[in-house]
Amino acid sequence: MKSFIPWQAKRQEGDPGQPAPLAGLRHEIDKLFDAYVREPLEGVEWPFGSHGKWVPAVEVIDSDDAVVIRVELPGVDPDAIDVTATDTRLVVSGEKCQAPRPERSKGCRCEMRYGTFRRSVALPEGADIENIDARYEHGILTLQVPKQPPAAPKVHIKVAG
Amino acid sequence: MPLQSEINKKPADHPEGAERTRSGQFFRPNCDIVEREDEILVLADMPGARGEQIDVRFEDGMLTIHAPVPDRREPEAEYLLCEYGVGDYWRTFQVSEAVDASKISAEYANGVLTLHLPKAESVKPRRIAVATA
Repeated sequence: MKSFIPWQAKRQEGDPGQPAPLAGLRHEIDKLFDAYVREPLEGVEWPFGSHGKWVPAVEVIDSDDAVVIRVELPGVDPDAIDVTATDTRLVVSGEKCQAPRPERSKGCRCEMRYGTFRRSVALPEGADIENIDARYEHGILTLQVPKQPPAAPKVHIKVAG
Repeated sequence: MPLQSEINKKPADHPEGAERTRSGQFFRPNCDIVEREDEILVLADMPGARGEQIDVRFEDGMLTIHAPVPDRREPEAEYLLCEYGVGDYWRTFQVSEAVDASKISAEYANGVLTLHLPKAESVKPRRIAVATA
């Protein structure tokens, strides 16, 4: 498998079989951090709203009539995605299976993340959770949450000083 | 839980000397490479790409994946959270294993590109006769 190497990596790092000393050090620090900080705290809700084996990237766009939430979920079966909403929070969870690739453990290069994921996003006031539209296309989950217009217009308050 | 920086898409360098025909950033897709008895399997995470627009080339032992991603960003939108960049995917691999280029096949589903690179039937070592005086 040494014969299949990323071209860029070869050019930049020299021998791909030998990690650069600095990269090795970083890897060691990451491992220590995982062992002493992340693993004992597994199961604890993280303040930024994610918990699971991998963390899909999220994009939230707010406009006057809707909130659009996009989650990058490449390779996830749409049936395995679970979306739940309360008045204040929307939770996307599920699992990315590696079942069709049982021989993955023997592979030389593994950059993809598999396993369970969970992300929660705060919903703004007036979100209409009864009419959320969810679509999964090209590996991206798009959630459209309609919003009731605010009862009172925004008021600007002058700061005296 | 892995570091967030490891999950985010990594920016890719565009090939040196190549002219940029459109602005925007390139991203290096995360790939899994699996060697099987008869083929090399390459899986690439490319959410947002369109299957019919993905360009896969194999030339002189270089495998190049390029996928344009339409820009869906609205300049006036108010982003509350913006964790991933939108841009084309581009990645190159050097394949020194003998691969039957005519039988390379690719499929794209749910944001993942799957490439099958069948190994050549026979890899014949070339012998060079050394002439002696």
